[in-house]
Amino acid sequence: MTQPIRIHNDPGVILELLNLRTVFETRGGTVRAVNGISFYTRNDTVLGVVGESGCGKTVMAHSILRTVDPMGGKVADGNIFFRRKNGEVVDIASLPSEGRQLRSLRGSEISMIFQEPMTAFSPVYTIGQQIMEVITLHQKIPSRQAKAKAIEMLGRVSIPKPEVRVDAYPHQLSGGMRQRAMIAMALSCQPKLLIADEPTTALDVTIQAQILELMVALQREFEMNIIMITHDLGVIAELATDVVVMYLGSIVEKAPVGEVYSNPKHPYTKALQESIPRVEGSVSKKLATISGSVPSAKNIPPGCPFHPRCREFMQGQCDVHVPTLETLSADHTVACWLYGGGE
Amino acid sequence: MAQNTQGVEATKDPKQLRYETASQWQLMWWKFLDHKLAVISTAVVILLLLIAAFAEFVAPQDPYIHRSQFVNAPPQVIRFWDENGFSLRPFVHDYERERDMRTLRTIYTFDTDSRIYLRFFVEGTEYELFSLIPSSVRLFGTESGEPVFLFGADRLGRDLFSRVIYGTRISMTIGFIGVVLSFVLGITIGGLAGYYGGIIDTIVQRIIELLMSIPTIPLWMGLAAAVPRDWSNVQVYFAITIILSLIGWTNLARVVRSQFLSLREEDFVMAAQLMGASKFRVVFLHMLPSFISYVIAAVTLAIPTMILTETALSFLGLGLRPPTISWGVLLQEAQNIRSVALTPWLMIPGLFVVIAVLSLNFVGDGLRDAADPYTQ
Amino acid sequence: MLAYLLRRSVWMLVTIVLVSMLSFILIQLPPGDFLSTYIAQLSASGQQVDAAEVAALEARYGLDRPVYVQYAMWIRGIVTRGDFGQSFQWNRPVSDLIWERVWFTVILSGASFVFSWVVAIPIGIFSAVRKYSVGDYLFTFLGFIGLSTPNFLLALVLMWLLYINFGVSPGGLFSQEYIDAPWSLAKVWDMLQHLIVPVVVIGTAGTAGLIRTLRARLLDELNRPYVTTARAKGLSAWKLLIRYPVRLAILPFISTVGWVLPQLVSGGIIVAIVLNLPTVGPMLHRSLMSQDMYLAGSFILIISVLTVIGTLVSDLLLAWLDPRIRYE
Ligand SMILES: Nc1ncnc2c1ncn2[C@@H]1O[C@H](COP(=O)(O)OP(=O)(O)OP(=O)(O)O)[C@@H](O)[C@H]1O
Ligand SMILES: [Mg+2]
Repeated sequence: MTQPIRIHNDPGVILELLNLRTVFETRGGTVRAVNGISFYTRNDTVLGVVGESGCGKTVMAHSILRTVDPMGGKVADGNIFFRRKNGEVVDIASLPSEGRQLRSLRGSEISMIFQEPMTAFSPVYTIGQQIMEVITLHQKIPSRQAKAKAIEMLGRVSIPKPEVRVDAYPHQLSGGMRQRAMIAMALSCQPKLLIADEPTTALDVTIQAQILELMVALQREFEMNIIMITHDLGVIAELATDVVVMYLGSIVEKAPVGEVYSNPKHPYTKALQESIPRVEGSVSKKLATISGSVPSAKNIPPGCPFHPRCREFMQGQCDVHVPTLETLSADHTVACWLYGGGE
Repeated sequence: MAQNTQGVEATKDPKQLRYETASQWQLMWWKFLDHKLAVISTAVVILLLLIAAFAEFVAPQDPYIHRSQFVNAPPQVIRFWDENGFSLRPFVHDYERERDMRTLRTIYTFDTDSRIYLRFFVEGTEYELFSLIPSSVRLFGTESGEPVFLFGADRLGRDLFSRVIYGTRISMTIGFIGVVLSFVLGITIGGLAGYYGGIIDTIVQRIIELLMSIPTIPLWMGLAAAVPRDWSNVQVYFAITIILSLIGWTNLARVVRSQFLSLREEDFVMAAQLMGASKFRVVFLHMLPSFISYVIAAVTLAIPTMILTETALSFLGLGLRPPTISWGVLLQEAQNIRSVALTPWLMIPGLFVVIAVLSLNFVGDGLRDAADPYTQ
Repeated sequence: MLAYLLRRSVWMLVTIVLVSMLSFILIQLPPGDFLSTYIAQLSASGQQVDAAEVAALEARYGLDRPVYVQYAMWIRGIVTRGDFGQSFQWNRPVSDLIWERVWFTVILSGASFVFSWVVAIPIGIFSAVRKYSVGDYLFTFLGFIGLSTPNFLLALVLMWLLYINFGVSPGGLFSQEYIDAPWSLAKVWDMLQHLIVPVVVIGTAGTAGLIRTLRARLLDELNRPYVTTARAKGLSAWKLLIRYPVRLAILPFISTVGWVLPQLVSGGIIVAIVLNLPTVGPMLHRSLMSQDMYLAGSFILIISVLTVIGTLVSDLLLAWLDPRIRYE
């Protein structure tokens, strides 16, 4: 079954992945980190991506920017359609690796922020220099103006005394400040898509909340789309408009955030949902209640990748045939034989 | 991912754990075998050690015998064929001599009509293997008993091949013995620093830094020059070995120290201490085995430095002295451009230095890679 | 930064003091003091021993006093009068003999150092970026050979090749006609030509180690998150490489000066002996062979002190380039 390409018909869609596969060739075999995923996301929304460690969230994010190539990965198959600021739709998957066209997207139309604010800046340049670099790279403006812009951006992310901090080196800032600076850098060219890969996991709880709040505010202000990758279903519940649930390189369910909490369909989503700690502030057990552990991406089980751990596993079906994404309602799709009538 | 596997490990039963530690060695062994150059080099090193052990047997001639009719004779090439056809048995051509009337030097050419056949296990002059077993069988020689000069002869008509073989013994052992001494120094000092930490550690580190910040060759030269001129060969040999190890221990000590430091933090040392094991026991039973692989690698990498330094010192006339034969002593003959131009084969001992040092470096590199859990 | 500078300088002073003690120990090591050797030499050659001169020397170097007093007097002589002692082989003050040679040694070591960096940096970067390529293997192998070949052997082989192919023997630092000529542009040019072989020979020894260090460092840095961040900004591959991972990999590389410099100086001494260069090498060699220990010890002291100073300079350079140290 071929999926319809929405991005060509619906101007509200900004990014659409079609059957994306990303692999790493290693000495131990081929790692299928992203194993055929499709989804789309609209303007002005926050798309949450959840899944256990190692399910391919980070690799997917890097595939969208094609920064997987220098890591030894390869976008082996599929399309990454992206609507540029000028309305033109490009397939990022087909652009030449590290080419000019790709680079003109990075940082100016699609930005990314990372988990580790400690090491995501180079320690030998000031924060200001690193922000100015991305500005002057994409906008031909003199460096004095770029510096003013950098200071302005630092102010926008609520860094006190931005005109002083602009000359600080990364190690002179706290973790929270650094992550704010990271956001300032990512947004300094007004991208349309911001991919945030666990932006708050390395920070302590109070700072986490501040950063997330800031991101939501900025998302509205800049009218951009955020793809928020996280382990934490709590974060998703607060921020996201839609949720994509990943398991071992595949998408098992995609739904509006309310549906995921009130009406999860896929057994994996159900298990995830049950594992959220009920009492606020109790020790988060996160995903621990799902029996068994994630198989290796080198060795994806046949059929439904989740079947060895599934409570509703159907012999002869789930371990043989790969379930297709079924549309249940307008925005709710699920890949599970419990709902699949396709064949 | 890492957290996951750790979590799983903790719940494993002891039997399985033992199996996994055993396979750790296995894994290192496989990784070492993967390093092809290191494997080949190991064979070369073993060969050199065998030559060192059986020098009397391998050398076709007594390395001290002067033969005036072969002064500065060029190397004879082992052949299986010449203008007169093919031969299954290897042979060399005999020399023809002419005298340059101006310089009064003998000019050697080869008589291509002559054949001196070579044979394995021939009777030669008497020797005592390991200074114990009298014998006269040599690995190879000529059928006629005529001397053969595979690497040519020096200015006294001594067989360079035999001399290089004997030199292998001295040069290799000086490297190995020097490293053993360095190792004792390094592991004691580095171990103390790493185990106790604090002020001892600081002092040791400063001493190491100091020794590493001065150019070693002049220091070595100075120490070597201070060795009294009237000492016997054996005394000089040991003096030089000690001098080499006195300066060579620093790097080993650093490796040992850093390993100790990282191990000190590990739980099992703590656990052993809590359970009342004495500090000595902790060091030798719990800490030593776990970094032994690193130390072996560091030791292997230290040997070539020793060999190079001995060669340099002896070359300069500050290390071992004739009649002791080492590669460096042999290279002394090639000290000036005139003798090198006339008798370039005198540089052959240098080739052995390069081969030995290169192989030891590769072996050490392979061991280090194998010991490093982070390499693939 | 100031504290750092201060700490390094104090440590350098301590090192220099310790080095001077080591040098003095070397001077004292051979049995008997230099004076008795001197006297023995004179009498051996049938010369008259001047009792007054002996007494004067004895008083000047405190030879009848305890060793630590002798050391103190030696150091005081150096610091106050620039007097390093007496070379009995040359029968002249050591300080008369060394300075010109020290100057050439500095030139030679400096040039070799620059050479090894100029060669090692591009190759190191190439090897890291094209990890496991044919070129990487080739350079690694060549590097190993470079590491395994004694400097002097390389010098010998090069000399021999030049000799049999071109009939020139590239010894010395000047051609015959320039040796005693006053300094001129032509003389400098002549010297530069003579420097090529020794610089290549001496520099090669350090190069292999430098390439391996830089390659390893750069491989580490290439996987750092900040590289991905910078790539996600849209920088071109080349700019990215130079501005980010290389810029950081170079930093610890600068601190290799600490071991490369001593190594170069060491190597330079032996090579200079083979190539007969007018640096400290041959003279140190001769003085050691004849146990002319004041001369030898002074050479060792000066070379070591210069090396330690070079290392300090590199430390300061590192601090200047690395904000993490600068703002410590
Ligand atoms: N450079 C690489 N080479 C080989 N395999 C890789 C590489 N990067 C990632 N992988 C593999 O791809 C799979 C997906 O990894 P990814 O980092 O995307 O997981 P993730 O969902 O982001 O996990 P986490 O929540 O821990 O960040 C894993 O099995 C991982 O081992
Ligand atoms: Mg991730």
